[in-house]
Amino acid sequence: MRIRRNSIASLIAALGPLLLVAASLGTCAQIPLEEFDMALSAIPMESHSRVLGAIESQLGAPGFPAEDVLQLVYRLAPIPAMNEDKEAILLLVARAIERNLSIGGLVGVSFDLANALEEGLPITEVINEALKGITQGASIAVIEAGVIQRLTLLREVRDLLFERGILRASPGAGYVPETALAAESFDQIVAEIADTVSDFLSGGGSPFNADGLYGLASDRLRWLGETVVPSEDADRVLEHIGPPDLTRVALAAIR
Amino acid sequence: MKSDYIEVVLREALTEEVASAAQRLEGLEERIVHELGDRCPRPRIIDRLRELLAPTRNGRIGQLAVLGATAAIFLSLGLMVARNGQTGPTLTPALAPTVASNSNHEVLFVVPAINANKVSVVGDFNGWEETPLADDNEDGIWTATIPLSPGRYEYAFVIDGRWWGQDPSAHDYVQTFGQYSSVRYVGGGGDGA
Repeated sequence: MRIRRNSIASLIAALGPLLLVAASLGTCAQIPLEEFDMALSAIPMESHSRVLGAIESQLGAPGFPAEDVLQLVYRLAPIPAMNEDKEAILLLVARAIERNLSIGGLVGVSFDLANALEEGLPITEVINEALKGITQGASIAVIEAGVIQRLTLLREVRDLLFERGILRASPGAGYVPETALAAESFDQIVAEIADTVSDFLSGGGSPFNADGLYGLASDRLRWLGETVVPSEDADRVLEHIGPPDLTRVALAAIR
Repeated sequence: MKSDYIEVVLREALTEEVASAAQRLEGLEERIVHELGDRCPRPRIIDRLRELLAPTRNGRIGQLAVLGATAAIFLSLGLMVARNGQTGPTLTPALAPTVASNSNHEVLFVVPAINANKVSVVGDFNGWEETPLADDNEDGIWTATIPLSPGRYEYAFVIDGRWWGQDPSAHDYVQTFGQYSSVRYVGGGGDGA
């Protein structure tokens, strides 16, 4: 009796892993391409067929996180943001697939990008940096770390401006309070400061070189003030932040 | 005494030739880029070099002087390439890669890469996907014109699969993921456009 019970137990123990593998393979196979197609259709974008093609090329392949990718599409679809930004996130994943990179971690980071998008953070530059990393052949882990650092910088810079009373007017708002910048201008300035700090750090700059960091940021904002944002907005931001603030922002990003 | 005299005359002749050759070479790069900007007609860099290397009125001495001046140019370009830390076996750089833009913000990308098979530009304006440069007349000068709205742009050239991130004519450089990219400001005071 005991022998029979042991045999059954051993059989179950042996079958367990096999069943798990079969179940996981089954899960991949259970998501038909049409479901991705339908989910992607909720996000009007030029790259629909490219993204779908990339997914198709790996669908059913061992280790391909099909369920996560599908969930990412579902996560992005209802976010009240520009479709271009959602498309950019999906293109990032597609590009990584096309380069035969292991995308497990990148899909996870893409959820962080989706969250940032929902928060209203200007993520275009962050995605651009990740795309640059893919083109340069950087490792996926380094690219993921870069995305996370840049998202941290965006939040820190945005919060710094809020702290100094510089607010972001709602897009399309008829009335912009005196303490607020138009959304487009605010986003551009946040993105540029965050990008400056990130470039400074990745180029080997010390976060404690506050004057150097501030000098770079102010050069960039002043130039932007002549072209893509109102110069009074750039000046106003520069008047309200100082070198130590950027050191604080930089330290938060490398912590 | 006689040989001293000949040496003096020879030295003076050489100095004169070098000076005149240097004058002709002054601003050569700018002239070529300007012509490329017009794109009609396209400059023939090889022809220009051939012309410079052709015998002069003073025969042998003239050739030596021009050869010397040409060697100096290539030496300085070599130093520039070495400074950038980017050398490639398939490249014969005649001039530095460069970028110019006009008042419509059409940015002209120019890369001299005489032995290259494929030259592209990648940047944040094309999602870091390769936009090919063309060398229709096979003179080794690759060009592409891309319309860009005012703003700050990062870019690099990819020459036969190799990343060339430090364009000497860029306004700035950034280093990410261990490699350089060039920065160009378009509009405003960035390009004078």
